[in-house]
Amino acid sequence: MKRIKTTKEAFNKDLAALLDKFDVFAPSTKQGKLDYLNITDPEDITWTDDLPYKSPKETVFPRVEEIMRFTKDDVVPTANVKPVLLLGAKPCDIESFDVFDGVFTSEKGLYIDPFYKERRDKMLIIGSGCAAKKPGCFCDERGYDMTFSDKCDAFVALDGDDMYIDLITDRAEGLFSGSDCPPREVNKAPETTLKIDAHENDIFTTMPWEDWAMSCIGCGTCTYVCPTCHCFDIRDADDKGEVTRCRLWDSCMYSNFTLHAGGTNPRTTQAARYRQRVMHKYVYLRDNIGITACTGCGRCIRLCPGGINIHDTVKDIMGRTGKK
Amino acid sequence: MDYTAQTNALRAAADKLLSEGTVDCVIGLTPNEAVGFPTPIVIRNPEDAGKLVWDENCFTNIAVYLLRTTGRRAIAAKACDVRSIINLLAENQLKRDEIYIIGMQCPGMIKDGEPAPGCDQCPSSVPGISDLTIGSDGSDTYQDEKMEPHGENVTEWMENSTDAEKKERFLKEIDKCILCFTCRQACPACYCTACFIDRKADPWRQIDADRATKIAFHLTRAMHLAGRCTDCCACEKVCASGVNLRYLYRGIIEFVSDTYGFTTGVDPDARPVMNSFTSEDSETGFLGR
Ligand code: SF4
Ligand code: SF4
Ligand code: SF4
Ligand code: SF4
Repeated sequence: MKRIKTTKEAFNKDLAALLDKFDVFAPSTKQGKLDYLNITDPEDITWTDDLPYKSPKETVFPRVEEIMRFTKDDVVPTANVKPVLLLGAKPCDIESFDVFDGVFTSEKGLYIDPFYKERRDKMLIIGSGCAAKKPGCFCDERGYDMTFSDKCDAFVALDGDDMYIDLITDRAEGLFSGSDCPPREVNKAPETTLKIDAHENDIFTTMPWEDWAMSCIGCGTCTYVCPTCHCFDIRDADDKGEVTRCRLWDSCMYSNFTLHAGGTNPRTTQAARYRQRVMHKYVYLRDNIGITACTGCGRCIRLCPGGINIHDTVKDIMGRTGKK
Repeated sequence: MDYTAQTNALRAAADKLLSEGTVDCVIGLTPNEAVGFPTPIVIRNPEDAGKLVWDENCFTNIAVYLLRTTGRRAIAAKACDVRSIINLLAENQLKRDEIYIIGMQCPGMIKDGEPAPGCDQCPSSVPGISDLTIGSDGSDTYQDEKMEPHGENVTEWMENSTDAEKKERFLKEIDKCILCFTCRQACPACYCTACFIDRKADPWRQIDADRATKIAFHLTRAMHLAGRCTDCCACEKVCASGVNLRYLYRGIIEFVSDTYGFTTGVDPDARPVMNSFTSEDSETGFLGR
């Protein structure tokens, strides 16, 4: 892994040159809260240790995504997708793309989602590390190094006016100018201490889900800000004979999630919905794609109006199933 | 104010109510380190009374949990929670004899180091109705407490802004919205089991129609809350995206007040303004003033 040194000014210049080719998303407070925003001027980037309030999943999994357009007789071609450059992604957020890849482009060949795959293949990720844990963060317990991740194309570190760039993949070569410098020292990743080993049947009916979900108001904030939540719904919109088929975010925390056409719903209580959220992340995906789908970013904890805490729930489950 | 004394009085009250079997549960707030402010809790055992807390960050409106629990419930309610409760009583969503209101005097709460949304313009530090009084010094009488104004006064801003400016502000706020519907879920007045937006069959289109859907959601919700919104700001306080919904709801409140002379959340026996009709009613409405 090569490392180059440049200045923030030069970096911004090189970045500006990439704006034509890429939709650049980077942390910015331009709209108020720190968020990964589609920026048009490198000056709008907010360089801070803070974590954007919501995840960068929108870059490859838009909130509303047109997947098809047709009339009675024809399929109308849809526009090409512009590649995304995600800049300043935190290590936990970089990890989340592993989950999306597992679900949407599974190598086991279970299912390949062409819309996701196209965006993902074209995407370039430039990460940046965290100096400190924020309240509610638990990436370390999930086994991730908060200072660095190599599951991206490049990694940047700002030091005053100096910018250090680790070039990780070939795709990052030549994008930024700079002089060679000694490579970064990579920390050993911490041990994963927060995970569920038990099976679905050990947990499904035996845990106090009602108590844990007591103060949940079913708002869905947790799933909308989460980097790994990926449930979606598909709807058609008819506009004078031309139909647009869209995929939109869904949330297991909504009361109409999995509502059947006949009016029944297998999950009738908020407790059952919360159980789905925890199990999907810590049990089902572990079984299906071999990855526990929680990066420990803590967003769902910090932003939950009800004070629901997935970290504590999982810890509790570990205690009750014999693993401390 | 003395939050320690208030907390102690609250814990003692909860302990007594649960031990004596006056109520089945107590709805309140509990410290939450990961979040940085107290979050809701429902306690059912007197031993858990110590989990309750009252401090300057208790801005969460917990009236919504009265709709999610059954039986005889006590609630540690500040003035804005009580306004919500009064509206729910007026709308027949709660039975007064099932609710025990522990009235917490509140001088205005702090969120992220600043006065919480709406607190600067709260009409009173004293809950409108209550069954037990916990004053700001922890005693059983309400103190004379002044609310400190802070930041931009939305009411004055409304008065001094043109329609175009108001529209611009609204759109600027709405652009931040991610349509998660958390505002609806947190609102004690939004209790419909089948919300209009869940029947979203609207023209979903990329980007610009996305804005249209946001407008449709927020304006329709506002219409549905006319005469029912109590200015508790629960919606703005929970919005993860920092959408300042007060710029919309304050307008609705002023409109209802100007048109019908009605203030929501004051009198539990008053007929909800949208349910009453007189031939003298002004016909202003949908089409503006
Ligand atoms: S867990 Fe929290 S954030 Fe998630 S739906 Fe429930 S109340 Fe909302
Ligand atoms: S479940 Fe919560 S902590 Fe885990 S990745 Fe999602 S938002 Fe982050
Ligand atoms: S809570 Fe905020 S982001 Fe969510 S729908 Fe309401 S205004 Fe929009
Ligand atoms: S709309 Fe907002 S301010 Fe009005 S009652 Fe509902 S939560 Fe409170």
